[in-house]
Amino acid sequence: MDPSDKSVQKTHRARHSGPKAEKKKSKNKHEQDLTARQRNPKAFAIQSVNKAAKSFRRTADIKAKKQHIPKVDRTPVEPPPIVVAIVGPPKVGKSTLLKCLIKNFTKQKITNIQGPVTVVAGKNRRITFIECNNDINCMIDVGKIADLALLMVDAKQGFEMEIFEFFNICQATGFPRCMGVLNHLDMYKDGKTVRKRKKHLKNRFEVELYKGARLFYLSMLVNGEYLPNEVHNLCRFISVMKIVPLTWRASHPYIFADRMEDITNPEDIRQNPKCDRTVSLYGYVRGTHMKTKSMVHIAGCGDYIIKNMTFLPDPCPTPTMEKRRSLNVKERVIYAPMSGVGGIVYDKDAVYIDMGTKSAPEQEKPSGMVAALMESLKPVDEKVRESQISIFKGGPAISGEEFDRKRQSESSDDEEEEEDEGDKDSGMEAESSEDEDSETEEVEGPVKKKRKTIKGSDDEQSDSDDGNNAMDVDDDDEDEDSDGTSDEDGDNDEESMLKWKKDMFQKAAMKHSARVNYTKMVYGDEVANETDEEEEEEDDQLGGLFKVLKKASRDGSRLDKHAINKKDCNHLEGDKEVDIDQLGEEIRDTFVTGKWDASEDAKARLDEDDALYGDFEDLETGEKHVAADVEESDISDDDSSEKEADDPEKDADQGDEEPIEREKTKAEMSAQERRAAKKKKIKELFDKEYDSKGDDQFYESWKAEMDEQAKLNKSEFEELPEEQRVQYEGFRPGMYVRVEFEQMPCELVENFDATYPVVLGGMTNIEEKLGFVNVRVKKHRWYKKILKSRNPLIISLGWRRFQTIPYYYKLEDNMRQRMLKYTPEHMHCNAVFWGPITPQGTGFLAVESVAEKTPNFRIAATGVVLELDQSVEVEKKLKLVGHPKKVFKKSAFIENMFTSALEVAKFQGARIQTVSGLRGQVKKALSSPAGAFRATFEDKIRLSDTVFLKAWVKVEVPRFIMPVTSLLLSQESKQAWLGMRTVGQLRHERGLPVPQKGDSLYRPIVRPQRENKPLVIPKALKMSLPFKDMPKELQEPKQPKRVAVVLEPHEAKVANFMKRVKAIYKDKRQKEHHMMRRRVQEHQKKVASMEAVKQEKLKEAKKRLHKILGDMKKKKDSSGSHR
Amino acid sequence: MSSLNYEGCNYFRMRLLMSTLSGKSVKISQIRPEDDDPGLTDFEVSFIRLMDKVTNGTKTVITETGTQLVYRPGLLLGGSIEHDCHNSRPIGYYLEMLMCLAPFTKEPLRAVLRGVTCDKDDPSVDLLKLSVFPVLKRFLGTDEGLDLKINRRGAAPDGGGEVVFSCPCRQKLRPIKFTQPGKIKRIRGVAWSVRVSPGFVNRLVDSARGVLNKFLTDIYIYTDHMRGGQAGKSPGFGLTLVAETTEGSFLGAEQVSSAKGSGEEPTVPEDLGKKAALTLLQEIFRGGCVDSTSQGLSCLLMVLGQQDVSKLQIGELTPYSIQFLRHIRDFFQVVFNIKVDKKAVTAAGDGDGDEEEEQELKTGGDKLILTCVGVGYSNVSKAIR
Repeated sequence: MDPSDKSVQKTHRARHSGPKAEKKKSKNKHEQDLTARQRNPKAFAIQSVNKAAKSFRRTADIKAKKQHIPKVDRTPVEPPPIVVAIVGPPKVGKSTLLKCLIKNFTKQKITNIQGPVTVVAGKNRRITFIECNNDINCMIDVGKIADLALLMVDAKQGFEMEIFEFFNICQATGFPRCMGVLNHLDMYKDGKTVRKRKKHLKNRFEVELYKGARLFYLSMLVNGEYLPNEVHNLCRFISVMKIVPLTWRASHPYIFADRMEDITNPEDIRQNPKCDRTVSLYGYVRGTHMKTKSMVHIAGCGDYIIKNMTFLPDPCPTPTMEKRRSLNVKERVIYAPMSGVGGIVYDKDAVYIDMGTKSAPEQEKPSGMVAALMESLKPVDEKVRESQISIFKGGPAISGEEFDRKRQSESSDDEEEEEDEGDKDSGMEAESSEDEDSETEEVEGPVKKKRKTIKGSDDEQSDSDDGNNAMDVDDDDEDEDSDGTSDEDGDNDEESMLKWKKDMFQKAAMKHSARVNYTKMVYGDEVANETDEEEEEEDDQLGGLFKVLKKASRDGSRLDKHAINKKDCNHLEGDKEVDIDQLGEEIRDTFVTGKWDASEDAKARLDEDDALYGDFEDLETGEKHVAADVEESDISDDDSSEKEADDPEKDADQGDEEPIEREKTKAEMSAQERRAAKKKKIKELFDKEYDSKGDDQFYESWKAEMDEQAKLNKSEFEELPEEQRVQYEGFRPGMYVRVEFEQMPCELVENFDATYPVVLGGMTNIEEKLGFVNVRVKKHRWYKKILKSRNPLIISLGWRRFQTIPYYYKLEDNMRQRMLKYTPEHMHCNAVFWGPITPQGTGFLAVESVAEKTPNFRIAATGVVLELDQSVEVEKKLKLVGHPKKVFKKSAFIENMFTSALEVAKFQGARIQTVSGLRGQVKKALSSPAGAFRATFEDKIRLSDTVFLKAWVKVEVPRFIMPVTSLLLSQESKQAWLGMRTVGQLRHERGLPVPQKGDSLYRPIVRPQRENKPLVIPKALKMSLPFKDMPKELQEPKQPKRVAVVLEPHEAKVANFMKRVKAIYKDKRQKEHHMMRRRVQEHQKKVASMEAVKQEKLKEAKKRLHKILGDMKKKKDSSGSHR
Repeated sequence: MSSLNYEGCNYFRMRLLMSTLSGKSVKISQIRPEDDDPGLTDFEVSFIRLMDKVTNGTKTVITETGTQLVYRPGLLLGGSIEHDCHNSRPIGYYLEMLMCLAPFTKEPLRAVLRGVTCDKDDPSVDLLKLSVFPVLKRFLGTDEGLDLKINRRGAAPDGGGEVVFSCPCRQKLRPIKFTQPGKIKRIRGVAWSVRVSPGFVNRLVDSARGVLNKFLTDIYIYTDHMRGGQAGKSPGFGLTLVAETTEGSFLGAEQVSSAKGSGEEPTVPEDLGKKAALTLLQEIFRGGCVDSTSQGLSCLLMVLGQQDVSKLQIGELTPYSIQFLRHIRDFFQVVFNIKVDKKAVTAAGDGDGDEEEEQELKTGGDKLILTCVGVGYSNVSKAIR
């Protein structure tokens, strides 16, 4: 081997496949032993406290969000059929869909569907279908009862107003499940537009409902039906749909009637076709337990008290089967009495089977005498009685009755006797019944006896019995409960000493014999007795004016009188004479010192424990205790801690059976096992103490409590027979019942339309009442108008639809409820109206009219009930205006604000203010004029000021409520229920102008010119001013005082002459002046010319002079230069 | 709105109470028509006044003779009210009904009642506090805000006492399941006296203990001797005892001295103490989870709960509670299921089959289990914001 070889040598290549590789792989298998977190815990430690806190908070948030307030689950064991409503605008294919759905469920083709149709959809699911038309009344009612709404949408049209309206109705009344069904997709030609359209509509639908809301597509019609597989898909979704429990429905019973029968006596109808009817309605009870004799609201009709209620066998029962998956044909039952489908019809006491095609032959109209008889309104015997016969011509006519009376008076003697006897009998009956009655009321205390003994007041004893009763009356006042015993004891006072003792024996005997039927004792047939007594009380009247009081003619009635007017107190007088020792013996075990029940006795439980953990070693003494020889160890060793409680007597008793069992257990268990068991128990205790005490422990325990209650609710009356159960619980949801009403309006029957749902909404007690309902309300943003206070509004609240007059108000910061004339446009406000008391938190919706046909959105407002009251606190502002009559320094007399001194007195101390903002206070009334008062202000007010007082007055809300009786309207006017109209509507209809107050009209403002007074500066101020600011008073030249002179004629002549002379003189002077001026001018001219010449001459001279001077200078200069 | 008709003045307050709670109007006719002083009495009128104070919109029409009354209830208002109760009946007469109404008011009730605090016919304020309050607490959930303060005591003829009752209001009450009364573990009580020698209370306590010590050692009776302005206008004394069980049920009983000028013999404290103890033993004999005083109240509040099953074990029904049950049926259409509690009667001694232990537990009279479904009553007066 040379080194060159070595260099060429290949490195080892491990095998990646083949048996060898696999063998190796299996030898050291790779195991993910540690997670990253485990391997490197530091990397996962808390780096930043803030970050950790944040993440913890987030997880806690998520956890808390999942939790809901635990509620008692009240869903019935066998729920009623779910209501599936098909909603949509007209001509969208609702009826076709309904037909297809029914066909899919029942394999039957039904052409004429009216009203609700109930089908069996599966093992545990029944469905009632209802098609909803586009009457807003109908939509509201359907929204209240539907568990699932199928919203039909025309793909071409998109979502129409009805769908949106239905969404809003649902929102106000509690949202049921909703599924969209997109129809008429075949109207689009190419696939791309269909897809686009689908996507667009689905997005819109999800916006409206929730993300992921389901929208179905029905692609096309084949032979007037949708594609079977599409319908089948839809059906499967419907039948597995989970129904959400809604608050209103969970707390109120309701029946969606699927059948109505008019059970009025036909004779009454014949006599008066408009007479009130007796009607029975059928349907499943839904919601919660419904009680007979309670009041229900029939939506669209009114409030009625149930006269009678019975449960019937279910016409559409759910098949009871365990394993099979699909229904067979027999089980696919359909029940639609309004459409005449569904074979068997049950009634209270009969079952009717539809025989199908055979129609009854047309009855022939009777003629002649039969017809005449049928037409007469009174029965024949009545007619006979009324008819009169006069035997002799002209003699008095005698009717049948009179004749009878005369005959009776003849044979009166015999009859009277009979009557007496009859009276006696009835009296006797009454007594016995009284006895029963008093017994039921008075039986109490430890003393109890059977009814039988009291009832046995025989005819022979009646006299003595009467006496007893009389004494009883006295007894009653003193000692109520001795009554029961005194009856039997014969009121023996001597015996009463031993009464207690005697009762003890009775008691003891009774415990093993029959017991008192307490239910009968409390509820009994008390009602029947009462009516009997009432019948007995006949009034004897003297001349029809005075009433003779039958003063205790019969003891029974006296007793009764006393019973009803006894002292009203809840105090129980115990037996006076009681033997303490005996009583003490009787109640020995009610104290902790007495004996305990086996299940709760501490000692007994300890013994049980001993069986398992009995043996232990006493470390101090070194003794070993073994469970088997409890007795010995107990006797031998008293200080053993666990055994201290045991008394030796008891342990001796245990000897018989238990040791055998114990030995067995002991034999089976090794020491190790026993230790393990002990440890386990300790661990459990520890866990209980410290574990599972997380944040949600409270929540969990709460939930557990609710579950327990739900279980109890379901199980408590389960074993009772149906009749009794109904009595205690009421008719539970899921039962098919027949409800009978009396005095229903005949229009309900006559104008019955199966397409309108008949909903019987049950109410709790207080909801029958009316009151002022305070609600939070918001005008719907799609509604065109704003709502005005005092305008009637139709509100759907609870089961009811009614018209009422709301007042809108705003809760101000100082909690004042200030009236608003109109609702705000985009804000919540409050409203108050007179309406049915409905629990707080119930939603409602309002429409202005159910009659008008409009393409616009019809729902005016939605809201929620806040508070109920019997008075209204809404206020509006009131300004009282007055004017000052006289103004002093800071006080003033104000008039015209009030009309009397009394009014002023009411407002004494009230704040007033002027327009300019000066504040003041009302002080005291003046004696005159009436209503004037003195007021003080913070400063002097002007006489021209206006003074006003701001006050708040309560608004009176009219107590007006009017149920929308849409069910009673005839077919053509069904959609045109017209209630109260607004004032505006009335004016419009009658062409009346809106009345205007003259005061409120605008007029041109005419303002008189104000003259300002000159500024007067006080003298003192003026004196102190510096000179430059001092106003300079310019002395006006004093005018000579002129006196008007009236001249004498002569003087006047003279004066006139003088005047003329003066005028002439003046004129002359003027002329002279003019001439003088001219002369002067001429002279001036002359002087000027002379002057000019002179100047010329002077100028010449100067010129010459200067010339000479110049020459001289020149000469001088030249001479000088020469030098 | 439906209306109910009754005759006679008995159960007068019960009818008005139920009418107020159920909203049904009630017409009572034939009120003492044959008495020398026919028609409504002063205390009944006083009760009507009280009802008018706690409600809003109540209308009462009484005929001229006073023998007929039409009562149309309004809504419960609550809040702070003051009422001078007529002295012919003690405050307990008014307070008993007020306690039934108080949980359903618009605002928590705080009522100042003046008059006779303790008298023979009606439960005294002490008894109501000791035995009815624990029951009320079970329905309300907590006893926060539930209070009865005795400012002044006033004995029978002239009164002069004053108590302040305050109670929180609820939207809904809780259903109860209370069928195990447990065993009596302690006895408490109040011995009170006004305008008599202060030694009376101690004599009452001693004599009552003399009887009760045989059964239980944990007995403590508070003495409450009021003097001066707190003592009212008439002399009197009384003893109220209450037995508390391990499960928290309270059985109360009381005795009150005969009123001054009532024509009865003057009461000796020792006799009264002994009698009170005896009454308590009788009450224990009757047993149950609630005592006879609060039977009516607990039945009513069971009915006024949510639509859940409530279960309650009580002793023998008193005539008054029987009438309560009947009225409940009339006003609320609820029928109670009344069964004899078999377990309490037949429970065996110690579970071991020995000859002398086989006898049943000695727990007094028959025990009944009342079961009913609530009507789903909710407090419509309370406002939500």
